[in-house]
Amino acid sequence: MERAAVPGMIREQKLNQWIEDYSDSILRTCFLYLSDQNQAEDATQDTWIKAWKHMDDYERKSITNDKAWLLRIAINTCKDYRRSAWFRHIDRNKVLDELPSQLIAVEPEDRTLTLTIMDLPDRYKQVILLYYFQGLTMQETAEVIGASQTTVQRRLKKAESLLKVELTGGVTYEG
Amino acid sequence: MKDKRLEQQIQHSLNAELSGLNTTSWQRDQFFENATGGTKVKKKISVVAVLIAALMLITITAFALTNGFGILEYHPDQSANQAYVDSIMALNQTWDGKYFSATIHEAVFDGMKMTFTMSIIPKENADPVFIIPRITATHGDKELHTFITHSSVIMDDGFWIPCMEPDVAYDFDNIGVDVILSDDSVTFNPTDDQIKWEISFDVLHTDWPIDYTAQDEPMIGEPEWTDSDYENYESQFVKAYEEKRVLLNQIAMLSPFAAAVPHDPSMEDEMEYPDYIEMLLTQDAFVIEEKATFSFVADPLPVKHAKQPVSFEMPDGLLVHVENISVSADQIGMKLRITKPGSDQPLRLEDWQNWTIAVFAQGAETKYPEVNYSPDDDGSLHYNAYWTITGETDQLILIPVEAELYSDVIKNQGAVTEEQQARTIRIDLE
Repeated sequence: MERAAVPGMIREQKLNQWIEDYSDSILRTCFLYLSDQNQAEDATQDTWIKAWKHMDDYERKSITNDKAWLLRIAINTCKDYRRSAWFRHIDRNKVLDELPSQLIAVEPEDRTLTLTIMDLPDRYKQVILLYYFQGLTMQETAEVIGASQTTVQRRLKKAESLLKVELTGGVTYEG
Repeated sequence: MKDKRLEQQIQHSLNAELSGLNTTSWQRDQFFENATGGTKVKKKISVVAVLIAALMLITITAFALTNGFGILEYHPDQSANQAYVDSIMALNQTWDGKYFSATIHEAVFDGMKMTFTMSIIPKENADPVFIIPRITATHGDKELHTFITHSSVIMDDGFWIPCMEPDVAYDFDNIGVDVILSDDSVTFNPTDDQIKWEISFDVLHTDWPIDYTAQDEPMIGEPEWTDSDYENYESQFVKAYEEKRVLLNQIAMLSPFAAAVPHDPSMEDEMEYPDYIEMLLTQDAFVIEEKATFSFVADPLPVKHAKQPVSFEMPDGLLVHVENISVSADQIGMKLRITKPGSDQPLRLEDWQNWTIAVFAQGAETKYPEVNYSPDDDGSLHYNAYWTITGETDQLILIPVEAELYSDVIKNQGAVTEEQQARTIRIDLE
């Protein structure tokens, strides 16, 4: 089903609303993907530029979840950044220390879990960030990463087991 | 079924850890303005503000019409950096070919890094072509090694015109590229020396049909993948070649196809990123149909170095030798060698975890660095880093700091404790 074309001003209002609603969420996801605050901010900016340019696509397709559509753009942007990064050995602990001061208390196990997720291979990190951190459904996660639900399921299973192995002695999830 | 407990734990931990990482209202305004090219309509705007905004828009539009996507749009941080701004060259060279036209708008060479901006417009209904950028710098008779360090579209290992990646549209109207001279022993005399830059693009065309693999790329080293998985993955590219089809991976990269097609094994020994393209060109899938070439001569801006060799001891006993410092109008490049006196054990990355070095430039703002560590055969650790700076400086300030205090020092743009103050090392540049 095709949507009616959205007039320019309404498009601007929509983008404005998205920027207000989702910028922090996209910035944090990009940061966890890229481990670099500056690059995450650039990727967030690029996400909005691409979203604006692809408004036609958004209107043509029946997008039911704006956030998932925006996260797809953000993740693809981060992939581009990763491919174009020149050289990078990242001490993620330091990267986290360099962030602006936390507004809420952080326990040692929060740091451990964050570092463990940041250290996951990209394919597993993606699904953890989308499915668990951003709260997307299995189907939405599959759409964002352009894979089947079976693939997402397989990667989630693997990612969960990697997390649990890494976190043994730290946080335990088994009931 | 979603593991709710895991979901809560992940959301709690990540949101706590990243609770300080938020966009500001100013940033969100910038996001909007940069995305739409306009400004948000505020509830109350004075007539004067409207007039000023209108004048600014006219100025920006006139600038855009003159030069297209400019260096300062690619590197807006440098807008107030007078030496940098003054050395931007308007080139406006256009090449028109069978498959696309390309225009180089502006370039700037700071003595270490050349930046250029360009746009590419694909021809309507033209076949897709694969573009290989080749950038050379010549100083007198000597060709210098160059390396693309950053670009706004993926460029360093070749790219498709138009973009072939599903669901992705690259912004070919607004391309910015940074290229460094990778040999840091090269020095120029800014008053006499000129560097000739040549930017060329080989245009590779194929008559073969182009297809995408549906299979995920196995990642070597991941436990779930075996050698046979990788062999299976590779075999589809070999099969495609035998069937005279070009097969791209899921993100339209040509490298798996290029690596899988038959080639002289001796090329493997010499293969360096991205020389797989040379392998591709020995086969019959692609031919270079055209070559877009641009050239210009640039006067390098002065590059400063440390006046004298510098070595110092970190509080944990590690010895830091500053092997090279190069400071241009917009960046600091630094190479350090770190050793552990009296130890016969090679240094490991873990040995450099508790302490680090904060670097500032006197009179200029320093951004976060791009850092690379690598262990050396002699047991030392190499630390290479580049910082962007937004103005000229005559002095660098190095402060050995505890890793956990690094962010405080960066926020403060200087020492936060008396001990750090006492450890501060000032390096005069010339």
